[in-house]
Amino acid sequence: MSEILFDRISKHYDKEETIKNLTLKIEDGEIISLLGPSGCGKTTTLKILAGLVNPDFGTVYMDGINVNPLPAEKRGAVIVFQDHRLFPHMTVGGNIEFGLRMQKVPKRTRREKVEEMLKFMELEEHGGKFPDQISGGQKQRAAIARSLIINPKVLLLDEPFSNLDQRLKEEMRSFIVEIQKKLKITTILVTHDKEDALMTSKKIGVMFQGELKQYGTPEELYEEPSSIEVAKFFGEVNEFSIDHEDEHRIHTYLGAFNKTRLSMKRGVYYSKLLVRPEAVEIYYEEHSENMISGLVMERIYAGEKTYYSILCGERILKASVVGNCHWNEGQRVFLKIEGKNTMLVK
Amino acid sequence: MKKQTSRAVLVVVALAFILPLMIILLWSVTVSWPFPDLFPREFGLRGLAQIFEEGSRALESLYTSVKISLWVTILTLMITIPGGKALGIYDFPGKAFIKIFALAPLIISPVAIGMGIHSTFIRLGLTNTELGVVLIHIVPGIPYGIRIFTNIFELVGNQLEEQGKVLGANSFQVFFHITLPTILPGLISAGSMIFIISFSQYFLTFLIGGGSVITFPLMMVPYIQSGDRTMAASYSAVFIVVTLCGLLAIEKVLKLYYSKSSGIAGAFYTRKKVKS
Repeated sequence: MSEILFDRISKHYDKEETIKNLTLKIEDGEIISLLGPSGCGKTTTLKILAGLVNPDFGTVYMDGINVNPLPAEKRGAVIVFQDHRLFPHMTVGGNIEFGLRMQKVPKRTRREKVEEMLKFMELEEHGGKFPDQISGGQKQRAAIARSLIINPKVLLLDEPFSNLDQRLKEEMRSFIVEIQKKLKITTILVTHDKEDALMTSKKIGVMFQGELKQYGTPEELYEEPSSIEVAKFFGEVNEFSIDHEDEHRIHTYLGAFNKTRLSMKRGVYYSKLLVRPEAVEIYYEEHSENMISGLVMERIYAGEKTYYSILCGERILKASVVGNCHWNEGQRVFLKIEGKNTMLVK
Repeated sequence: MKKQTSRAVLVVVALAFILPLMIILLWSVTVSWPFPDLFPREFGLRGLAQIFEEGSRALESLYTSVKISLWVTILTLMITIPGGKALGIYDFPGKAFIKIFALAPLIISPVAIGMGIHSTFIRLGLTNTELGVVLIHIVPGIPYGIRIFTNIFELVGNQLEEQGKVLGANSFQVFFHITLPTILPGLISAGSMIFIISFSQYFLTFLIGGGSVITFPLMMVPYIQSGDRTMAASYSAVFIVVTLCGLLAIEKVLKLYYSKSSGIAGAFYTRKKVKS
């Protein structure tokens, strides 16, 4: 349990910058996600915190102490890797016991703790098996058990769900949230899947090409993205260039929008207005001002939602409606977009 | 049909290995075997008796040989494991050059290397000593060790070691509990190879040992040269049996050590408990 601070961390590999000036603070006992496409430097960030990789610049603090000079084995930051990395020559029990044995904990205590941990992780029957004799989900739990047994200060999960099928994935997600709540252990989860991040974490950091683009709550990231990249990472968006703005309105070629967004900051120049497909409302008739006329080009029914591509002027607008809807291809419709449902980015 | 062909090939290959050995074994218990007889005319244990008689120099040299080869195996492994790991896992300037350089003893004749080292050893007073022989035997073993361990480490990487470190193991613990058991198959093959190379070394032993350090091959060669086939074959038979035993011993000891150590790792979860 520990408060973590990455202070202006940079790391180069072969002249290529893997991590650019990363500053990030994680509160004690918090669970956060680092989200981004593969190769964006998320795993390197974990390795820097764990002490497996030395940063070129910057300092890592744990509880206010500079841990840069500490070797990996003294940091208490344990990574659970994507491929589990269970030691193949040891049994599951032996794997879980490993950390305690390295600390020279007496055999009897070790035994008790391992039994307890096996029970906690629902692995009682598998303690005597070797890693290649258990399933993927069990391996995952064994790897987490092996990390938790040494009471780490920070638990680092590197793509913990990527090798699991959908059902197991959901199970593991709630399992991790549960143990994190129970043990109050500072946890950093690295993933490329926005759903994993949204469903497990109180806060999410979005990384692209080694840069932390935005760090905030899921709501902030979804509703007030700092850039088009971040917005797109959380789902499809329609983007419009802003022509000009006056005191109350923002003008795009699709029409004018009221400046009701709280996210508008004074002195910031916004160049784009973004609209999520679900914020586009579709009507038969033009019943209020500022509605946009369009032609349904494509309709895709996907069960819980129906997706539309609508031609407005020369642009295709994406829209989605919950449930089954009856506007068909070739039909003329009118679209309404509330100013409050739009997002502005620089 | 295909199966039969491959079986036939296997039999031929096996015979190609076994027949020469059979002939050696036959010769070792032969008193006379004149041309053109297909089988020996008279059998006897003259050769083996001479080797195993009390106070025999052969046994003494056998002891020296085994001792030297074991030391060479241990020392060469100590050099080539870290060497192979560095070449297999880490990137550093000049890596390609060092990779080739480590194989140099394979390319350059051992005579040339031996002569050069000989003059240095004279100055250091290492000639005519067992230590000198051990040191010179390390040279031909290095390329094999480096090659095997480089490949092994390229294959296994250092992921498990990283995991060990973050779980709180220091470098020493990581090496003994994780690295060594992971490279065990390579350890056995490299160890056997190095043992055999050292055990069958004639020229380098002769050069550095200068006749004061008598190993088994040194005893054997004069018999081969003099044409006493029974004696030569007896020596060869003992040579083969000892090498085989040596190899088996290396494999057994290493396996036993690590099955035990992983037993300690999972102190109460040993292999026996596995049900599957």
